[in-house]
Parts: sequence; structure tokens; C-alpha cells
Amino acid sequence: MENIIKTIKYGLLVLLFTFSISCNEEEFLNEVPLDFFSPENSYVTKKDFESAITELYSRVRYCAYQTQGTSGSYAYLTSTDIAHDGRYQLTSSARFGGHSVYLVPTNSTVAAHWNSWYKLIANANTIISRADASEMTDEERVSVVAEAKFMRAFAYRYLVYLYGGVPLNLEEVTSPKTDYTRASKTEVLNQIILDATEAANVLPTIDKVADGRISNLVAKHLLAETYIALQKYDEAITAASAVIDDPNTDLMTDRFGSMATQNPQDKHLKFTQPGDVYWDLFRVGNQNRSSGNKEALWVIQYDVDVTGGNLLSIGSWAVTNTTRGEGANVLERIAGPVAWMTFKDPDGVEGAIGKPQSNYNSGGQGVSLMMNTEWFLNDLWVSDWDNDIRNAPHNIVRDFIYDNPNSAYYDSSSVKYPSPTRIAQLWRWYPYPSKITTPGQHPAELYTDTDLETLRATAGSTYRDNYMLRLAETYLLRAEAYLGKSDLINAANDINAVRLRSQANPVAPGDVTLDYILDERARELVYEEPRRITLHRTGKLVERVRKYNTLNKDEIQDYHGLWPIPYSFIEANKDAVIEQNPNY
Amino acid sequence: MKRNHALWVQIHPFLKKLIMEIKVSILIVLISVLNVYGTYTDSRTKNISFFDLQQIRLAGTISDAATGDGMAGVNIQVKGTTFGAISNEEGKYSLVVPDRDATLVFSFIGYVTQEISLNGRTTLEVALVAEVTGLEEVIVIGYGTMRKSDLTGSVVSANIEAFSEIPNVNILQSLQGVAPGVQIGQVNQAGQEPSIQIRGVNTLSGNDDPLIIVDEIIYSGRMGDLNPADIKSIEILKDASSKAIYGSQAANGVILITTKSGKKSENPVFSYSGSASFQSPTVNAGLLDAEQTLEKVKGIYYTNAYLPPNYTQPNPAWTWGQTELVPNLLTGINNGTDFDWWDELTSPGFIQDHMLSLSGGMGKTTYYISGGYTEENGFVINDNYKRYTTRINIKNDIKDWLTIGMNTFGSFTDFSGKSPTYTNIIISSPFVTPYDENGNLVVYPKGESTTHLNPLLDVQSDDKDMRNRISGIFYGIVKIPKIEGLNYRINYNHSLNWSNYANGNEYGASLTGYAIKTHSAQHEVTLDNILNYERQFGSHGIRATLVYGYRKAAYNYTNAEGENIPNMSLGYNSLQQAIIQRISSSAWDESSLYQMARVNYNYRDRYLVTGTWRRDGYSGFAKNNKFAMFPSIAVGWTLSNEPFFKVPIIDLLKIRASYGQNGNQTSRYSSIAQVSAIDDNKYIFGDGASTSMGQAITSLANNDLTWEKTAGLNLGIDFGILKSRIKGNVEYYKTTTTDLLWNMVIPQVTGFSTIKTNIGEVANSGFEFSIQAIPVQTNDFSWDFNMNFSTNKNKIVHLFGDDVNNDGKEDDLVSSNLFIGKSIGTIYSYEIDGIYQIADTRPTGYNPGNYRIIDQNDDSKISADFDRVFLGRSEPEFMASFQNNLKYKNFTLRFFINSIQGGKDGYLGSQATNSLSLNSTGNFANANTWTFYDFWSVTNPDARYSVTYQAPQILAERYESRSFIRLQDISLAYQFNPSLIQKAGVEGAKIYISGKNLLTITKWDGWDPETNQGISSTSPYPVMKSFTLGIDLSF
Repeated sequence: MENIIKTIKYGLLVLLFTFSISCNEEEFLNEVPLDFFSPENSYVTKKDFESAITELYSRVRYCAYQTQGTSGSYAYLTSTDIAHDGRYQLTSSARFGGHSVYLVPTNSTVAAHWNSWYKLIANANTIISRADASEMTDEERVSVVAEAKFMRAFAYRYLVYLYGGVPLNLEEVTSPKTDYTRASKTEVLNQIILDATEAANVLPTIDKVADGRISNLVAKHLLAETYIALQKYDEAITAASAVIDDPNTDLMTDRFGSMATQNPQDKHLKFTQPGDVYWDLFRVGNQNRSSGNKEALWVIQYDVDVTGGNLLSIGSWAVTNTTRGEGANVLERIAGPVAWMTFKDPDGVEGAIGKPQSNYNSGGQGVSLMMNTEWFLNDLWVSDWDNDIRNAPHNIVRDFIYDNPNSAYYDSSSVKYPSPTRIAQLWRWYPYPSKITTPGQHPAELYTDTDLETLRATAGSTYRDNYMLRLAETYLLRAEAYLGKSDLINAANDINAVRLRSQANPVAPGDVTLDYILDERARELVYEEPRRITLHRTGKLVERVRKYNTLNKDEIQDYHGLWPIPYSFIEANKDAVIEQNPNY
Repeated sequence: MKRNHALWVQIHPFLKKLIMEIKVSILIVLISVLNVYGTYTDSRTKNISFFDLQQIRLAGTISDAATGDGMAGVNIQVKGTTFGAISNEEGKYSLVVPDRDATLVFSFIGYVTQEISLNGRTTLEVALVAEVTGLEEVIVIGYGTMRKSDLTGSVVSANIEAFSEIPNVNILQSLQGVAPGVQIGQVNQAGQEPSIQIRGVNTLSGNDDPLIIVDEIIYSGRMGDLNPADIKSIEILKDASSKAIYGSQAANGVILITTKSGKKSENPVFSYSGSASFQSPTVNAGLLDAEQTLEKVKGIYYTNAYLPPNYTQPNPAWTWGQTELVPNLLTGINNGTDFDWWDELTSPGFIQDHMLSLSGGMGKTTYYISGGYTEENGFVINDNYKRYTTRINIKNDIKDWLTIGMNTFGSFTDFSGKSPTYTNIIISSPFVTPYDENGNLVVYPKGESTTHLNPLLDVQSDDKDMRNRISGIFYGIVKIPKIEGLNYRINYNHSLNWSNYANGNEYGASLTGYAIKTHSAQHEVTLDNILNYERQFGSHGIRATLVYGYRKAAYNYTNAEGENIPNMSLGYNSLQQAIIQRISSSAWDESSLYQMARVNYNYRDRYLVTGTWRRDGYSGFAKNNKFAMFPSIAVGWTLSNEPFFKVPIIDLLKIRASYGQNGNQTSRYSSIAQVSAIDDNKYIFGDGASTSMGQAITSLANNDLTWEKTAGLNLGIDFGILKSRIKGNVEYYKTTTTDLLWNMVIPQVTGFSTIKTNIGEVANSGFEFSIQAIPVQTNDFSWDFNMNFSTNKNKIVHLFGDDVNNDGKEDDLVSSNLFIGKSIGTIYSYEIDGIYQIADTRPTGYNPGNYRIIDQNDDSKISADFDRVFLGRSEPEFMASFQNNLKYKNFTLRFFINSIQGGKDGYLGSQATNSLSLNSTGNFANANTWTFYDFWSVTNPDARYSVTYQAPQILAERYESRSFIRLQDISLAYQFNPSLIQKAGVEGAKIYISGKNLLTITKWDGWDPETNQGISSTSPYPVMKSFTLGIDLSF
């Protein structure tokens, strides 16, 4: 018994000792992040919000051009009236070849575009919701919120045209929400109007913003487009006019910028036609206002070998230089023909030197994934073939000159002397708009031989800034609005403002139709506007694909004018039923 | 304190012993009373006077004759009387004997009883010899040890001895199939860590690795850092009650590893063991050769290569130029090139292993010192591994009341050498070679434009990959004075793992040169205060353990890399040469705090009760839930120790039941919302402008995030028959895990794809059966075997509890592949019914060569909503293993058969056909593929697998059974007779030959069923079979 009592006594003593050396538990177990920030302390100052706004710019660049890397990035361009799969394949799993294969609710491309635009919206919402409790002054707060609201509106623009009426998410989400319902298309459009109006009222004028930054005019351009969708043509005209009439904007009519005094040159194609202002618009360094360009409204910024510039001259990072895994603006690679690698002359001898070159003949490092439709390349230009500068041989490259000295056909035209494989396999070479590439202006590090103009195989990006919105489009939008009001004279005037700059013959008011405006947009904005969004917006996709796209005309279905709502969203949104778009 | 030998309860001596115990107890109480009052001289009885007259104090130590370890609990009895005593923890005993010439009887269950005459001695050292049937053992249970017969939970001791002749580089490999309910994955790369799973999956997305404890301290990191030869025993805690002492980390099971220690002996014992293994793949597979590839290419472009409409007649106008083959390949075809890249990039594997140890004990000190070297060269070129290990375990009984010791080890591993990537191997082509005419490596064998770098250039890069660990456990044991059986133990551990990785490749970064240097280090500190109390009060055995401790870990990582390096001669050691430079770093720390109490009670070895309680605090828990409590209770009834139990052939029959709760921790920082400010978020405003920083929220906070709780019931029966010639156990368990950690998929409209949350309930139940038998035992020949069988059924019981579709049943979480009433590994997908042929009518979006998906609802289109069905599950139906040991004179033959079976629709794996290089006609034509991919083409319409270069609208995958039976290990050893070798100064010598993975019976295509690598596996590492020659010497 004694022992038991002793045991207990000593036991308790030791126990007391043990527990008395214990520390402050809460403090000991406090979790402090060491290598990341938390929302509580990083949405406080103006600088914090400036960072958050910067992220929206980086994200809109991603959403519009790089969603899903190189494969999904041109879903807005290919399989439309202007372009189709470069290899004539409807079913390649790597690319948006055909609607029938791609447009199912489970498709990853369908979900990727949905998710990336909604992430932009959510990040804008975070800024909007957290601005009130921040340390910013009222003035700073108003301007930060307006910029975020524009970005939100811009994201809804893509969503509403791609998918129709989509859920409206307008607040920061801090706990899981799984009961979204679809708003009507009109509700979404009205929300865009609301947000863009606030931005148009608050944002600085275009001469006051840094290059790449949005101004009140950008918001007004979006307002014009959205009012057209709502068939509010007067409001659309007012908004577009505010952009067009702004003293700080103008269509560029004279040569300007980095190549203003030079003419396009190619040692194989031997251009004879002089350079022109349309050509200047797409040369390296000529997009931002600081280059003298008054036509640009909103320019998406790319810069080589600068963090945040999203382009790298060399190395593996040049291909996938960020953790989102996107290729950086790889239009050159996608839309350029691969002739430089695989082209044979009529004798069956290599007609090309087998290396990508920084010239018009090669088109950089293209790999023939997307090519323009025959309609775009031929029919569209018939009326003004020789006078429209947009169809000049240096703006649409229409020949490949055999450049392999070992070929008997060296320095002669492959159009004139086609090889049998070229005839059998059109994808090996096709005409292309030269704005996809930067002949003679690739970053210096990319050249393997400056005399031969050969490039590393890691080329493929379009090494310049991208127009998100350009004044020429504003004119064509206003034309659409006038057309909506059946004011054909003013509509023709606006179209002709764009045409005259390109030395094309003016259109007669009687010939102005929506299709004509879409044709003009194709001529002016090819590979620049998200063509699919425009065709969805105008309801013309199916009709025009059937008419102009020889590859996709038979597979596209009536209901493909809207994308399906992603199944992953329907499934995750478990507490409310989402109605799928018809026929999916 | 280790007690290695068995305590085996017998029925017959039991009553006798019991009566004696009662008498002794009464006597002790009487003596105590008399001592207190000091008046016994006045009230002597006849007995006491006898006692008084002859009083002689006898003391000594009882040890195990085999190990030299002290033996606790040995019964000492004065023959012909009822006087006696029981030895303490260290085997020491003392008692008062009535007669100088008395005879003492030393008995311990499982040992040969000895009778020794005192002949006037007052000290007596006794060594007990184990009985042959002594299969019972003392086992490690965490924060202490216990007699196996006292166990109330499900604790298994792994028989690692059975694998001593198998070249297992990682100790976990020796657990493969040896304990029911324990599933260890195969390895197929040098130095690879196998996966471990105990009693099924208890979690949806939480950590599912068991907790590893080495010498009482939580061990995090690579098991490969432990030299298998240093390990003495491994115990596995399976049921909730046994595991409860480790609380919030124990839900997935606990593996307790004890390293070797020295034994008291006159002379130090040197041991050397060495082995060499020769490896080759278990699957004879490779890449298609030129002829097969040409056939493949024609199949891809069949619309040109063959004539319509049936595409069976070759098209005479066909040329290879009509394909998307790149120019170099066309040249290769013309030249008749046929190069075997797989052969070039692989060579037979080789493992060598050397181990030298020294152990012994002098005076109060015992020691074990070892050094080991292991080198493994894998099958794929540069898949290399080298390990250097050292260990010093020392223990010193400084004072009667104080023992101090340390277990230290260092492990230095070298993974240097870059293997070619899977991508680079599979996209090679037989039409090109890695060398030019002069024998130099070609940079881009398929042409520069393909950017397909020669895989052999990867291999030549300067690569350094060192991963090191040093660890020291320092302990002190204090016997608390005056209280018998009470001691205090302090364990302190500090360990450091650090890794250095560096690579310099002049062909990296598109040939501009690439170099990287990475450093990471992780410190861990553990301090445990342990109070142990163990005492027998008559028939009542009490054992109590209290633990108070903390653990802290801190990690940091720094990475620097560069591209475009004009002069690579300094490689990764001068990163500043790079034109483009990147740096990044990260860090974390975590801390935990815990208290634990455990009490075991044993009444006459019949009734056993264990109660434990643990309180755990962990920094990674959300701020509202920093602490958790984990209680458990277990009872056992040794029926065979009851007086009424009289079944002659049954030696042991014990029933056990336990119930308890364990946890599974959340991961660090998982409850905190994160804001990232990475390069992706940055932007520039204007040409030539400087970078603007960007930031965005990347995850949602969940302040209520809590740990997963697993509560479980375990029922077990232990039995021994025919003097333990046959023994075994049967277990049934049922566990329920609630508050499952789950990355709940939420609509990305929120801006987030998932949130970490607690949902639902998962149940696991299973049946385990283990039997050990000795069918034959003669002087020259013996055969014993061990069979294990286990099943596990996994079922999702609840998810959110929602019923949105109002069908009266809780809704499934289809987006996350979770279904009420089904297992976590349920496969809900499309059912395949053959492959579309040219002549078939096909729905829109499906091409010849794609799988024909069954339109379940006959609406003429395939959709995710209506056409997916339950195809089966990935979990096995049962696992079984069979270990045999046959001994004939000096020869021992062991073989081990392991099997995992899926039954009707279990243990399914996906045979995906859409992996890299197969996703477009051009890619498929220009790349290669594995010979076991039986793909569709016009000339192979009956193929097993689809092609996906023409993508179907919905990509279906073929699921197939991974069931297998494997002759995993077989060995033959010869033990030399000591008399022959002792002249050469050698105490013991053994030579052996063994084979691993020699035979696998399976229907699975691809690399291996157990590694789940099929026809288009993402890693070209086959499971290896090997032959080993080895020798063990001690001198």
C-alpha cells in the first residue's frame, strides 16, 4: 500500500514538474507564413492595389492570347471565316480543328476559357470589394475601382458572347459558393455597360496614361460595342464618336515609327512596292503612343527579356517562360507556314534551307498549325487587289522562293514551279499576313547567322506588342451602329475612313451590310481582333463558316454559335441547376 | 531495455503459480506491516522464527542466455516452499532465503526452467535458455515495450529476418507482403522510395502515409536513408487503440523501427555482409524498330498509303514524303537506318552492398557501430544511386539509477547523374542515330526544327544530386528512487537533412547553356519527457506511461539558375556567367506539442485493459482548432489462461477488442488564404519600361479547417495450437473517418477551383488472417511458413448531406469522382465496346481507331451526363502472401510469393492511349512508341488499344485488371559449420544466392501491374528482376 501511495505522490510531483515547464501553447503553435503574403496585410496601401491592378493587366494578356498555352490560344481565330486548321485536320486533339470535336461540355478548351476569364473577374472583384477598407484616399480609391471594373466588364464581354447568359459574380468570394445561376444575356450586357460607364467617367484621358494602360476611351470603345449588342445604336454612336473625335486619336495615314524611312525588303521575294502606313502599324516598337502611333487605343505589352514582358529571346523560358505554362504570344509559330523546313522543289530536292529565317519568305518559325481560308486569301481582295495596301505583297506574303542553293530551282517562285508534294499537301506552304511575324526585327539573340537571317528553333513568338483595341475598329463599330439605324451614308463614311487610309476604293452606301462590315473587319483586323467573338456577337459565325471556310463548312452545326457551358462548372455548382445551351 | 524472448502462457503451471502468487502477496503485506511497527520479534510465530533464524539475502541477475539481456518478470522460487520473488526490468532480483543450501527454481514462460542449489552463495547469476517453441516475443509499442501476450491491440512484428538474403536497398521493401493489411509498392528506380499503405485509404486528399518512428522519434523523410542492415526490428501498429499514442498523425498507421544495439559479450563481434546483384527488366519491351515504325506510319496515313474503300490494298503511288515525317526521318528511311535507342539508353542494372559492423559490450557500456556502402546502377542510363551510412549506438549504465545513451547516424546519398527524360526517349525515332559519321553526338538527331535534343546529351550534363541526413538521439533514463518500477526517460533528437542539387548543361536552354544550383535544408528537433511505471501487485500488473513533448521543424530552400551562358567551362559553379538569371526561395516552419497518457492493466494474465489519451497541438491547424484529443480503450481476455479452459491442443486463445480515435493532420498553411506575387503577375507598361509588380489571391482561407478524425473498432483473436507449432491471428476492423480533408471543387466562377475543407465520412473495414506453422521439424530438416491474407473494403458513407435533386438520397460529388456507398477509387467512366473500324458508321466526332463508347441511354450521342457508368474500382479485393523457410542441415531455402487480386472489378488501372507524342498524326508519326502498345491501324483492326492522333469528341480509356501473383523473392543460403571455420578465426559464415521478381503472372500489359505503369506509362522504368550473390561473416 505504502508503495502505491508513494508512487502516486512521486508520480504527481514529476507530472507537475513536467507540465510546469510547458510554454505558452498558443504562441508556440502560431502559424506564420514565411514565403507568401496573406490578404489581410497585402490589400492595404495604394501600392498594394497598384500591384493588384497590374496583375489584371498581366491576366488579361493571358486570357486573351495565351489561355491553355499554344493549343488553346488561337481558339478565337481558327475554324472561323478567316482561318482554319493548318494541317486540314478537324480532329487533332492538340488544336481547335473542328467544332464537332471541340464543342462538347467536357472539352478542356471550353472550360479553360471560362475559368480564365472568371479568374480575371474574381481578381477584379477582390480589388473592388477591398478598396473601401483600405488606406487609400478617396481619389485613389475611385480610380482603382474604376480600372478594376473595366477589367471585369472586359472579361464579361468575352464570356457573354462565347457562352451567352452567364452567372454574374460581382463580389469577392471568401467562402465557397456553389449555387450560381445564369443571368440573361441582357443582364450581363447591362452589367458591362454599368462597369464600363463608371470607367469611362473616371479613367484618365488617353494622353495621360502610361503606354499599355487603359484610358476613358478604351471604356468608351467597349461601351460602343456593347450598346450595339443591346441594339442601343444612338448610345453606341455617342460612345464611339467620343473615341473617334478625341483630339488625341487619329487613324495613322502617314508613314511613321521605327521603319518610317525604309521599305520592306526580302532578298528572295524582292519586293518592289514601297512600304506603307499599314505595314508600319505592325513593325516592332510601333504600337505604343510613344512611337507616334495615335491609332492605338489599348496595346497589350510584350517586352523581350524583361520580367513581366512575357517574351524571352532564347532558352527554354522563351517557350514557356512563366509558371502558367503558356507559350508567349506564339502567333508566328501557329499561323506561319512550315515551308522553310519541309519544302521540296519539283525535282524532289530540298527547296528550303531547313532553318527558320527572319524574313518574309520564311515567315519566321512557323509550323503550319493555322492558315487563312481561301476566301480570306483570294475573294476578299478581288475588288482592290492591287491598290489596297493591306494586300500588298509585303503585307500578305503570297509566294515562297526556293532558297536552297543546292536546288536547281534556287531563287525561283514555288508558286510558278510547285512541287508535287506542295500540290498534294497544301499545308506545307500557304500565303500569310506578315503581321504575324517581325521580319528582320527578331531579337538579336535569336539569330544563329545574321547573314543567312537564320533563327533558333525556339523562335515562334511574335516579338512585338499587340493591339487589343485600335481606332480603325472603333470606326467599323460606329459603322455597325449607323447600319443598325439604317443610316447607310454615315455607315459608309466610317467604313471608308478605314478603306481610304489603305487606298482601297470607297464603298457605296447602298452596298453596306453587316456582312460587308465583317468583310472589312477581316481585311483590317485579321489575326488581331478575336474573330470568333465578333462572329458570335453578330450571330454570323455559322453562316459565314459555311460560306467561306472550306474545311469546317460541313461539320459546323446550327447551334455552334454559342459554346457549351463547361460541364465542370455545372457539376461543381452543385446547389443550383444550370441550364445547358441548346443542343449540347 | 529489450527482452527478446518469449513468454508463453501454459495452462498447467498456471494454478500452481496463482496460488503461490497469492501467498507471496500476503507475505509481502505482512512483512510490510511488521516493518512499520518494528515489533515482529515480540510476536513471532513458528514460521517467523524459522524465517528469522535463517535469514539470508540473495541477489543476482537473470539474463537471456541467447542475447545476454536482462530478463524481467522471471519467477524465482525456493524449492519446496512458497517463498519467491520476481526479477525486475533489468533482470535483477533479490530475496530472502531460509536456507544456505536451498535450491532455487527459476522459471519463465517460454524458457527452460532451471533448478540451482545455492551451496552457500549469496549472489547467483542465471542465464535462462529459451524453449524451442519460444515464438512469443516482447515487442515495441511506442514509448516503451510490452510482452506480446499483454497486447490488446493489433500490433504486428515484421519478420525482416526472412528477407535478409534479398538485396532490398530500402527497408520498406522487406515489409512487402509480410504483414496482413500492409501494402508496400514496388520500386523501379535506383534509390526509389516505395509507397506504403496500411489498412486501406482513410483519407480523400490528406496525407496517406503512415507515421514512421525510429528509436522512439518521429522520422520524416526518406526511408532509404536508413541502412536496412542497421535495423533490428519493425513493428506496425494497425488498430486505433495502439496508434492512439501518436494522436493526430496516426490515422494511417504507425511503423516503429528499432535499430540494433550492442550486446554484452567478452569479445567484440565484427560482422561483414556483402552482396552483388545483377538486374534486368521483368518485361522484355522496347521501342518499335524501323520496319515496325514504317508500318505504323503507313497506318497513320492510311487514306494515302492504301486504296479506298477498304484500305487493305497498298497504294502504288504512295511515298513517305506524303507524310508529316520531318526531313531527317525521310533521309533515314532512304538510307535504311534502324537505330535502337532503347538499347542505347539502357544497360543491365547492378547493385552492390557492403556492410561492416562492430558490436559488443564491456562493463557498463554496450555499443553498436556500423558503416555501409550501397551502390545501385539502374537499368536506364545514369539512374544511379550511392549510399554511405554510418551508425553509432552506445548505451551506458553510469549508475544503478542512471542510464544514458545515444543513437546517431549519418546517411549520405548520391543521386547524381541525369537520366534521359521519358519525353526524349519516346520521341526518338529509329530512322535517326545519336552519332554522326565521325562518332560525335548529334545535337538534334531529328533536325534542329524539331527541338528534339539528343537524349544522350542530357546524360552527359554535369549533374550533382546529394541528399544527406545526420541525426542524433540522446537519451537518459533515471530510475526514480524509492518507487520501484518508476523511471523517467528524456529523449532529445536533432536531425538535419540537406540536399544540394546542381546541373550544368551546355546544350540546355536551346543550346545557349543552362545551369542550376539548389540548396535545401530541414532541421527537426524533438524533445520527449517520458515517465514509465511498471509494477506487479500480486495478480495486478500495472504499467503506466506519461509523455510530454514537442517537435519543431524548419525548412528553407534556395534556387538559382541561369540561361544563356557564353562560357560554360565553370558550369554551375559560376552562375553569374549567365546572361539571364533567376532566383527563388521558400521556407516554412511548423511546431507541435503533445501530452499522452497510457495505462495497461493486467489481471493474472487473463484480463487485460489498455487506456490511452493524447492531446495534440499542431501549428498547421486552423486558428480555431489548434488542439485535438485522441482517446482510446482496449480490452483483452486470454481465455486459455482461465482455470476452466482445458482444451489440450490449444496453448493460446486470446480475444481482443479495441476502440479509439486517431487523426490525420492538415498540411501546413492550408487554412490560410494566400496572396501570390510571382513573375506571372508582373507586367510592364511601355517599351523598355521596368517591371511592375503584380499580386493576386490564389487560395481561400478556411479558419475552421480541422484535422481528419478516424475512429476505429478492432476485434482480434490470437491462437496457438500444438505447442505453438501452429499459431496465428484473425482480425476484423472497421474504421470511420470523418471531417475528411478535401479540396472541394467549387465553381471557378468564384475565382478558385478548390477550397480545402472537411467533409463527409469514409468507412474502411477489413479482415486479416495470419498463420505461422511449422509442418515439419526434425533434426536435419524443418519447414515453416507464414501466410497472410487481408481484405479491405472502402466506402464513402457521407459527403455533404445534400439532396439537391430531391431523389431522397444524398447526392454524389460526381465532379470529384466521389459516390455515396462506393469506394474512393471508384471508376466512373465510359464503357468501351471495341474500336471503330473504317467501315463502321460513327457518330460525329469519332474516327476509325477511336474507342466505340457504349451509348448507355441510346440518345445517339455520347455525353458525360448520361453515358458514364461504374466500371469498377482501383482498390484490390484481397492481398495474400506466402513465406516459406525450408532448412536442411546447413541449407536454408526461402521463397516468398506475393499477390494482389482485384476480383471481378477491383484493382483496375487505366491503359491510357492519349499520352504525349500520340496526340496528333504528325507527333505520332515522328515519335516512337513502346512495343507493348497494340494499337489500331487498318492492318491491325483487331487491336486491343485505340489510337488518339485523331482525337475523339470524348476520350475513353480502357481499364484493366492489375491482378498479379509474383514469386517475389527466393533465396538459398548455406551456413558453414562453426567447427570448420573457427580455425580461420571466423565465428560464423553464410553464403547465399537469391532471386527477386523472377516470375510474375498477370494479364496486365505494360511495364508492371503493381507500379500501375501501362502501355503509355509516363516513366520508362521497368520493375527489375535480379540475381544476387552474397556472403555474411562474423569474426
